Amino acid sequence: MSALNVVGLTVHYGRRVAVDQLTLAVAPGSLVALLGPNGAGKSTALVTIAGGLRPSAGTIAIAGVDLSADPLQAKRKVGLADQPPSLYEYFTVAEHLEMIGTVRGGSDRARERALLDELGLAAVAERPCRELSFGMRQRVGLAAALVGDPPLVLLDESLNGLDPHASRRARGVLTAAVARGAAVVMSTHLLDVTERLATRVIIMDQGKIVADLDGEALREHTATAGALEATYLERVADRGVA
Amino acid sequence: MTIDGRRLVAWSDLDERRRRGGRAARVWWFALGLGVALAAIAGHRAHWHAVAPSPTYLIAIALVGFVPIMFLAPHQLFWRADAAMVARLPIAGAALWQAAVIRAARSAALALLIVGPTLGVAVVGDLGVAARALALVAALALATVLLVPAVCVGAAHVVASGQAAAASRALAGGDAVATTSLLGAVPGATIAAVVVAAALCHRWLGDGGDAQGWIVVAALAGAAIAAGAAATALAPEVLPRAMREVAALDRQILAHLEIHRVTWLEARVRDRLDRDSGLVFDRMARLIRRRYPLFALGGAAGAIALCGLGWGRPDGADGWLAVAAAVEAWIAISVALATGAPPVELARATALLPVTPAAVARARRAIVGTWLAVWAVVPIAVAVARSPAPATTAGQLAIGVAIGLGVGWARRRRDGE
Repeated sequence: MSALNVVGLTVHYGRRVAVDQLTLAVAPGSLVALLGPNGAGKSTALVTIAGGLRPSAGTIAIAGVDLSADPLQAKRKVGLADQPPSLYEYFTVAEHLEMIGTVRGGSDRARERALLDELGLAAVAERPCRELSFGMRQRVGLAAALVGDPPLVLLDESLNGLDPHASRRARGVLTAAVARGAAVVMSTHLLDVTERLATRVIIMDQGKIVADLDGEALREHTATAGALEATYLERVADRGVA
Repeated sequence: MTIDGRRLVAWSDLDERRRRGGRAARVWWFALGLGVALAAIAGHRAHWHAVAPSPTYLIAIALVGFVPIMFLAPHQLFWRADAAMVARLPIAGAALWQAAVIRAARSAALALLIVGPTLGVAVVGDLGVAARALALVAALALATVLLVPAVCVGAAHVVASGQAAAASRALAGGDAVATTSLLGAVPGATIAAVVVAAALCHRWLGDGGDAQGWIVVAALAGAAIAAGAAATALAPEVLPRAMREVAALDRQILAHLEIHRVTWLEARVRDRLDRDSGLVFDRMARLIRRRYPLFALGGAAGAIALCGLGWGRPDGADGWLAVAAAVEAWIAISVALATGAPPVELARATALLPVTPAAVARARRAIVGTWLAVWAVVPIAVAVARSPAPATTAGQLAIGVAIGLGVGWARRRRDGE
C-alpha cells in the first residue's frame, strides 16, 4: 500500500490553476524531493495533501485512507512542516510537541525528548517558541511533523536556513524516519541536499510534473556533478520570475 | 486519545494567558466595575428610591453587555491566531464546536457581570420587572452561547462548501461578490435581529401586561436551543472543513481573490495624505474591508439607528441614541485596534519598509477618522440638531460614547495591545 496516493489533484486559486492534474504515488520508506520554481505549486500541493486546502478536483489517500471521506483519520497519518511553521508562540518547544503528539493519538514524552535531542533542540526545550531564531523554528516545525511517527511526512522547504550542524542533524533524522518506513515528501531548492537524500526527484512547473526521476535515472543524475541542475534548467523555463 | 473542546480551550488559554501576562484577570474586574457603575446610574436616576430602572435603561444595559460579546463570536471560532494550525490537525468537529461553546459561555458570563448589578437594582425596585428582565437576559445569554456561534458555523459552511460563490456567480456573474463577507454579514444580521427582538420587549418589560414579550423571549431562547442542537449535529461534518477554508482565507493564501481596489471615498482620503501615508492607507483600507466587513455593516446599522431615532424622536429616544452611540464608539475602537494588528498591519514587515512610523500613524488615524466621519459624526450631529434639548441629548450621547470606549478599552487591555 502506498503511503500517499494522489490522483488528478487540481487546485484553483480563482481562475488561476496552482496544481494541475497532479498524479503521484509514494511508497513507504522513500524520500521524494519536490523541485520547481517559486509558484510552481509545490507548497499548495503539500498543504492540500495535508488537508489544509480544499482540492478543486482529484483524490488524495494517505496510507490507504481517503482524505475527503475520513479527514480525521487521514490527518492522523500525516505530519506537515509548513512555511512558516505554525506554532503556539507562547508554548515552550516541549509543550508544543506534546500538544501535537496528543492530537495525533497520544504524547510520548520520551520519544519527543529524543527527537529534540536528535535535532539539537534539547537546550531550548523549555523556551517559548516565540523566542527562537529562524533556524530553530524550522527545526521545531520539522520535529512537530515527525512527532507520533506518522507514515507520511510533508516538508515545505524545512531544511532552508539551517546551519551546517543543524542541517546534518535534520538529514540524519529524516534518514532515520525513512529507514523506519515513513514516506517523506519534501519541497526544496537545495539541490545538494536533494542529491544526498532523495530516493526520487520530482520537478514541477506551472502546477504540473515535468520530470520524475528515480532508480537508475536518479543514480545517473546524482553520480554526475551538475546533472540534476542541468535537467532542472532544461525542463523548467526561466521566466524571470523569482 | 480523543481530544475534546475543553482540552483545546485549555491549550489556547495557556498560550493567551502567557501572551497577556497579568492582564488576563483585569477584564473581569473591569466588567464588574462597569456593571456597578451602570447600576449606580440606574440608582441615581431613581433618586436612590426602591424604583426599578426604566425598560429602556434595562434593555440598553443588556444590549451594551451582550451585543459586543456577540460580535466576537466569529473571532472566537475562525479568526483566531491558532486557526490555521488547528484546522490542519486531526481534531474532530465536535471538539471544535464544544470549544466554541465554552468560549461563548465565558463571554456570556462576562456580559452577565456587566448586566447583573443593574438587575440587582431592579430586584430591589420591582420584582415583576426584575423577573421579566432576568428572562430577557437569560434569552440573550442563550443567544450568545448557542445562536450566534451556530449561525457562524452555518455561514462558514455556506462559504466553505462553495454554495455562496455559486450563488454569487449566478446572480452577479464572475466573482463579483466577496463571499467571505458572509462570515461577518450573516452573524451581524442575526445580532441585529436579536437587538430588534430585545427592543420589542420594551412595553412588556415595564408593565408585563403584554404577552408579546414572553413570546419574543421564548422564541429567542427556542431559536438559540434549536440552532445549538443543529450545530451540534452538523459540526462533526461541517466544522473542520469550514475551519480549513476560513483559515486558508485568513492567512491570505486566497485573499488576493477578494481584495478589491479602494472605494471612491477612500481614494479621495488617500489622495489628501502624503505619499508614504497614502501608500499605507491604501493597503490598510483594502485589507480592513476584506477582513472586517462587520465594521462597515455595524457602522451602517448604528448610523441608521442614530439618524432614524434622531429624526423621528420617539419616546425614550435619548436612551436609545446613547446605546447606538456606545456601539459606534466600540466599533471605532475596534477599527483602531485592527489597523495596528495582523493581518492588517504586520509591524515587522512595515519596519523594514522605507516608511516612517509617523506615516503609519497618520494612515491609521485617517482610517479611523474616515470611519468615524461616515458612520458616527454626521449621524450624531443630525441627532443633536433635531433634539428639542440639544445639550441633554449631547450629554446622553457622550455617556454612550464613554461606555463604548470603555468596553473597547477593556478589549484592548484583554488583547494586550
